[in-house]
Amino acid sequence: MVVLFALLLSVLLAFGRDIKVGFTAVITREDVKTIKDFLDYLSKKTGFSFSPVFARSYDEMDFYLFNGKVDLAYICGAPYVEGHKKYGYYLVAVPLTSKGPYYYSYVITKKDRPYRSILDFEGKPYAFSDPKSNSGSVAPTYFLLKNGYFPTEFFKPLIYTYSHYESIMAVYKGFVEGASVDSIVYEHTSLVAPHITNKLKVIQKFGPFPATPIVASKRLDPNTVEVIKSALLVMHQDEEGRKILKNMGILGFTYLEPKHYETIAHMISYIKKIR
Amino acid sequence: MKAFAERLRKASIGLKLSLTFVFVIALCSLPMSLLTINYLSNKLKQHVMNTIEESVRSQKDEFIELILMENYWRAFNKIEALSQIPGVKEVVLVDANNRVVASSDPEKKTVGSYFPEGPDYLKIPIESYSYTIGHLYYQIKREYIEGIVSPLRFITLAFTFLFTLVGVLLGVLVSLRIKDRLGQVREMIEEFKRGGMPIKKDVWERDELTELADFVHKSLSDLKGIFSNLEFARNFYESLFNTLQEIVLILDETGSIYFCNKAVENYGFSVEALLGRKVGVLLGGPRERREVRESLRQKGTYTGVVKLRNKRGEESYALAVLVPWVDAFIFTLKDITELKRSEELVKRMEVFSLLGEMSAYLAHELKNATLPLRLLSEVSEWNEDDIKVVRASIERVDKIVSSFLQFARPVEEEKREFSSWQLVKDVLEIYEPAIKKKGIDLVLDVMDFKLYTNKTALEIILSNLLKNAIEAVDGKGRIEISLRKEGKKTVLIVKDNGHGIPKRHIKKVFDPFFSTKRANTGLGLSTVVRYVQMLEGRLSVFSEEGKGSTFLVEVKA
Repeated sequence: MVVLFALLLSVLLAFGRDIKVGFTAVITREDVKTIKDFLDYLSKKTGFSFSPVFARSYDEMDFYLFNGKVDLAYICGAPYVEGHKKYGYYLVAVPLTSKGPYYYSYVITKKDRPYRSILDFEGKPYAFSDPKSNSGSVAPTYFLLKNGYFPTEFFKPLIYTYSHYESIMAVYKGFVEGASVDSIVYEHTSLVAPHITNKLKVIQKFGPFPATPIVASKRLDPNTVEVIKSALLVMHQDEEGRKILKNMGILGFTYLEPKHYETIAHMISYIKKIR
Repeated sequence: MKAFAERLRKASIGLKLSLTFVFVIALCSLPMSLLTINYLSNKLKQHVMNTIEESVRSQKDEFIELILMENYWRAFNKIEALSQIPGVKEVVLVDANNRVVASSDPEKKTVGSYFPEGPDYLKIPIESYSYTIGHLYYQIKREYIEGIVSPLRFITLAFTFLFTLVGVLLGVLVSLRIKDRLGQVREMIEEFKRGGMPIKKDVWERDELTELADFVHKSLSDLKGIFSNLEFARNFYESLFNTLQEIVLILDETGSIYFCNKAVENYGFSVEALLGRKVGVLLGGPRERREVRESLRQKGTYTGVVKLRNKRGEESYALAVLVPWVDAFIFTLKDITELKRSEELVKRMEVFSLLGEMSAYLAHELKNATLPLRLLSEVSEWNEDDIKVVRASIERVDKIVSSFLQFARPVEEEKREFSSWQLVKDVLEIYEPAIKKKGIDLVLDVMDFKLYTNKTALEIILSNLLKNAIEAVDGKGRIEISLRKEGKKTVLIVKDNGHGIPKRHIKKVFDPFFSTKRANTGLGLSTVVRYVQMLEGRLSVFSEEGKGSTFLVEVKA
């Protein structure tokens, strides 16, 4: 009875305030309408009130999650691994693509360029997205380190765009010769802006890695998290949900056990040791 | 160039006007338009520069951060945004070492590469606390400026072309109007020249050309009136001239005829045939021709009786008057042949009358001279004194007859040239003994010159006057003979200090057979008068009883 009351109280408390959902520019284009539709949908399905919070980097999002300015966040695997370890984030849901709940780190360049591997970009301007992004930084850094190169010295210069989409645009505009980007963002871009990806090519990919998850701050009530998680996992089952998911470039949400992210944790650990 | 200038000089007024319009448009409109466009182009360029500089100034702190933090991608986005400013061609952000931080053309100016500063770039320093940490280079897009200016240039050229075309059309239109007006003026003048009355076309507009046409029309109408009057006057005077019996010629200074009236037809000449010919063709003798020629040369007047010669070679007499007129001479010839004949007839009648008178005198003188003979014829025997009387009577009769013959039958001799001294000398040779015998003091004042006349006539004149003078002086008298040239006249003066002529005789001294001296025939001065008339001269006498007489003869010689 007490447990039931506590559960009810927590849920009622959740109803009493906005649940802050964080989005980083790293993996999300600031498509306000899609985000609004997504949050409205969740609100309708859960009865909670959601409001978006935008961060420019994973560091910033970490800060928001840590001090309670954000309750839920759509972040990359690498910051999840670190945040889970440091701040007790727990995994809510993982986006589902046609390849499953996985994604890759793509090495992209322009179609007319001769590069065939990330190792061919030595001395060239190259773009990473966020230093904490798995696909946009951790994975290629790990590969380079494994091959004996320090990215900051290997590329001339190494440029952080703090957005996979911006990295794609940096390659497209010729600002950099190549970039490491999230495969989900790249594929989504090829759907919404094929004229950009038509000029580009993927020459190498690292992975698969578990997809960028939706994580929850440990401050958020687990019951509320469960309600939200339930709504997310069945989102693909109704028409309205599918429409929003399509706009987000995914098929739906699923759940993965945290152990799936150990590969990423390993790479982060390796990188930190080398540095 | 010279040929072109000459062609331009002779070009029609339309072409000149069109060229003037085109020249003015080309000289003023086109350069002004181009200057304006150039000004606009510079303003546009300045505007682009101001825009980008203002943009950089407003984002100065961000640029400082981007350079210092080496935030290449954000820097690129900024630079790309700046490069989107209209008129900006390329933007490059470099750090203090001129390494590219971001470029709007990243493939050519790769991030991190060295940027060689070129003259085509404008630069804006990025300063942090007075320390230059980088520069922003940019280029002005000429195509942008040209893109805005080119249509203006095209429009300007099109308008210039249009204005030029309008200028040419205006030139043609104005010239057509001018030609039309001038054509009307010409038509009026042509009509006037044909003798008609010029007709003025009334036009609505009023300007200088229509005023000119009106002025010409009025002037021609006035002239028409004047010419009508002149024509009337000309016809009148021409008729008058041609009805004159007197020949009227207009001569130039060489004596050529360039006008004559129809009176010449009376002499067998046609007006046309005489025009251009010398006046000498009308004159009969060399004297007349010479005298007229001399007067023409001296631009003087001439008056004299001349012989005319008609085309058949017949001679007649005319009173010739030559008067200078402007640069020419008016020469009139009045036929005085009839007058001459009348004069001769009168003279002859006078002679007949004189003869009658003289006959009476002669009869009386001869009767007186032969009276001793008639008386002695009744004496049976003559003594020596009677014989002397008879001889004296016969000498008297002979003298009377000789003198009469000299008077009645003047010598006829052609004119010839002789010297003045020769004349005086020949006469003095006859009278020198008588002068010496009477102890007369003879004073000669003879100018040395040539005479051209009847010498014998002059000798008779001088001889008779000298004889009278010798007879007039008593004892030691004085006689002065003066012969000199005064202009065209020869003046002979015979002066004595003898007894003079009484006033009551002064009018009779020239009558034949009048003499106060018993031994004289009374024909001396009559003979002088006769010969002076023959030489067309004048005879004057100044005398005072008891003091002497002076005879003055003026003849052309």
